[in-house]
Amino acid sequence: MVFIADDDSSVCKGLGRLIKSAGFKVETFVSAEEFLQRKPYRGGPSCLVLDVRMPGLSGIELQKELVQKGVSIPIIFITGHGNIPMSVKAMKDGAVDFLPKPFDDKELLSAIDRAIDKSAQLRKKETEKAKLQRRVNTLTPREYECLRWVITGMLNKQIAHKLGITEKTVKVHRGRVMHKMQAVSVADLVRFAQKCGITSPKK
Amino acid sequence: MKEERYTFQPDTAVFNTVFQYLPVPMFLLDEERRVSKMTPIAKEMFDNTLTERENSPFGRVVNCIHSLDDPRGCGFSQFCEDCSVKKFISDIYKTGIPCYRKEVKLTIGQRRRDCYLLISAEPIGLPSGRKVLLHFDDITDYKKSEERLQKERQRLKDTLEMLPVYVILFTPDYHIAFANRFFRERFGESGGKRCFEYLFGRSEPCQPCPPHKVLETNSSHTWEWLGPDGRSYSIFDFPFTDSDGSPLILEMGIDITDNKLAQEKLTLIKDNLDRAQMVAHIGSWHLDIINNILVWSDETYRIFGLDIGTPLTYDKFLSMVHPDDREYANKSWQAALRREPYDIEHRIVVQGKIKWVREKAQVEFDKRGKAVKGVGTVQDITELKHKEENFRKLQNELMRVSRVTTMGELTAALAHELNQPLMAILSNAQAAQRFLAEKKPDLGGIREILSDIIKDDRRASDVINKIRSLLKRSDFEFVVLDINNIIREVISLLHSEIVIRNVSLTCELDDKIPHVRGDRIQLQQVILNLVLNSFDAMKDIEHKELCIRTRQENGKFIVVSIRDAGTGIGEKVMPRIFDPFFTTKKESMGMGLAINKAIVESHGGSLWAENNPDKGATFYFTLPIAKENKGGKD
Repeated sequence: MVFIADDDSSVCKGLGRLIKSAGFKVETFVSAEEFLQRKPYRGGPSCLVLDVRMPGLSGIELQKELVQKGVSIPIIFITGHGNIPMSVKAMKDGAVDFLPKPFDDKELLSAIDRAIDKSAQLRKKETEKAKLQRRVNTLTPREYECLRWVITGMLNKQIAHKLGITEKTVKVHRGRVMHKMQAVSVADLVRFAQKCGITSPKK
Repeated sequence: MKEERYTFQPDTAVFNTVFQYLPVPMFLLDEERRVSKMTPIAKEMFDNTLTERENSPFGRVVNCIHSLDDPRGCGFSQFCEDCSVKKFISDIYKTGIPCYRKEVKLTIGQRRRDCYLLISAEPIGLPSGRKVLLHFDDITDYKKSEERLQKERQRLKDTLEMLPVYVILFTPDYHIAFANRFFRERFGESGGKRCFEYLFGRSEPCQPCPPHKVLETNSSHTWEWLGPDGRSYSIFDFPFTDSDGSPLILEMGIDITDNKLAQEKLTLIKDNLDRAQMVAHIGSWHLDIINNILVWSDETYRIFGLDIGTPLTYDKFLSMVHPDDREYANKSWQAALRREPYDIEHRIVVQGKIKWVREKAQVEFDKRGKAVKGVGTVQDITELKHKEENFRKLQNELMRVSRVTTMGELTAALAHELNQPLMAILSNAQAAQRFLAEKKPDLGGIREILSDIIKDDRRASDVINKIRSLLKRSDFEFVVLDINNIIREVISLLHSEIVIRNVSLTCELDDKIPHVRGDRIQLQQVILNLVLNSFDAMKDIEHKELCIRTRQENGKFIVVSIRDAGTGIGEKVMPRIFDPFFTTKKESMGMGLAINKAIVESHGGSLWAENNPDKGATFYFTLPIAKENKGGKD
């Protein structure tokens, strides 16, 4: 799915035809606001072809808005008159490409391909993260605490000392964490924790 | 002796005959002063027409105003009381002694003329008794010419005495033989002293003695003398020969002290004037129109590169005027002779180089209205012209730079404007290619695409035309135009900018506004710049309102106002906003408003700014209404 947002309806129409002809589903918007009003797309991988300069909310502002909302859609900026600082900023903020108008169909379509790939990856990552998160959610608070210490690479004895419990109890918690997280090794556990954004406590 | 005389007895016949032919005026009188005989010349002399000549009283014969019988006298003269003739003849009779050459003045003859006579008388004895032979010499002419001479001499002397200059005669030995009153009054009587003694109290003659030069060269000469009275004299010495043939020196002295002072003053004034003219590069001139004599001041000569004193005429002046300006200069002068003002600028050619001068003059007319003379000034404005030229070039350059800058500011908007249709065309065309690549091309879709492409292509060329109209010319051209159209053009150019910046624009353009005369590009630039400025002023304002108005004022001007709802102009900044290089923006050169002002003023209008009572500021500019409003297209 490719979304197009450009204040110029001719451009919207032309780009829409082109992208459609390459086999994508297309939806066009003549302003950033219109795009924001659309309910979040839950279908397959998607990307947004976005004009930088638009009356009202500009493309750059829309990007900011989406980041804040946690909507991760790869963006291809198109602009009639862009400058380097503007494009650098846009790329840093996660844009896939920055195309000065007018551009060739190949340029656009390859950018869309890349964006769709990225979208697919993002979807995959998000799915995995959600699965792991579900596992984390099954941990008791004590087990969670244990997990945070385990990923620092500490021995059971040291953890027991930190938590003020016996080494034996630590060993039990640890076993349950490994089981619930479906981890085969401590290395697995560390990777899962990282993906879920779990940080180790300060020593 | 006397007896002897009276006893002389001439042969009467002989005597009578001789008497008749004597070629001198003679009378023979008896004791009673009766005329016994007279010579024909005597008759002629006294215009005598009387028949009773013989034995008539002498007085009657000579037409004396008194008759012989008149007891007042002899009948000989009007001054009878002491009539010298009466006494003269009586004496001769009494004494018998002849008397010669006695001068008497008588009024005699029928015409009563005054005459001087020399009379001589001789007593003679004749048979008829004692007689007196009276002889006349008419010396009237001689006497009269002598009188005249006397008068003449007196007049000459009086003239010399009255002269307001001194005249003296010098002898070679330094004595003053003659001095007129002027001299005597100034220097006193010489009292026989030599000039150096009594004028200077010296014992030796002056060395050299200028008057003496005359004796050496025998020709006149002139010199100047500072007299002992402290005054200056202009002296003329001439060789002179006295009546006895001895050489003299005639000297005339004129007191020129006052002249000299006046001259000095005049020289001072002239010097000052010359210096002032030199400093100011302004020369003056004076043309005697009737005699075609042109007089220049020294500075005028310098300006024209001619030697001071070169003789001039109007034509000579005209020949130095640059060939291209000659007709103009001449026409202007001819117009001045018809009482039109003369204030022109033209070029002259000085030794192959071109100079610029400004000429101003006034023509003076006589009572009958005929131009008599012209008085004028000529100013060397070459340097000024060069500066002006450079300034104009610089200004043009700046305006061009500023236009480029303004265009630079516009580029983003223009690029966007142009790239949109290009983008649409490209993507549509490529989509069409893809449509065609399919086994069963969607011809309906392709037809739609093509009509969209055409539409967008038109859009693109519209944009290009707008840009071209802003950029195509670099030289300025004044034409009659409608300011409203210019405003509309600028707005259409800025359309997308206005939309993107979210500006709400109101135009209140007076449709009946008269045309103005100006350069389209420059006026576009002014409006463009003022509108872009207002955008900047409203950058951080939520409600961006812009209002452009046109109206006419008192039939002379049109007024354009551009009102924004921005931040307004700070009190401290206000007086400086039109200064060159003054800016409150980081990326601006600060030339925009300065150039706008220059442009508006070069159109004869003015540009100013005011803060609005509520918010923002308004820029106003005026332009004079074009004189020929008809037929001008914008």
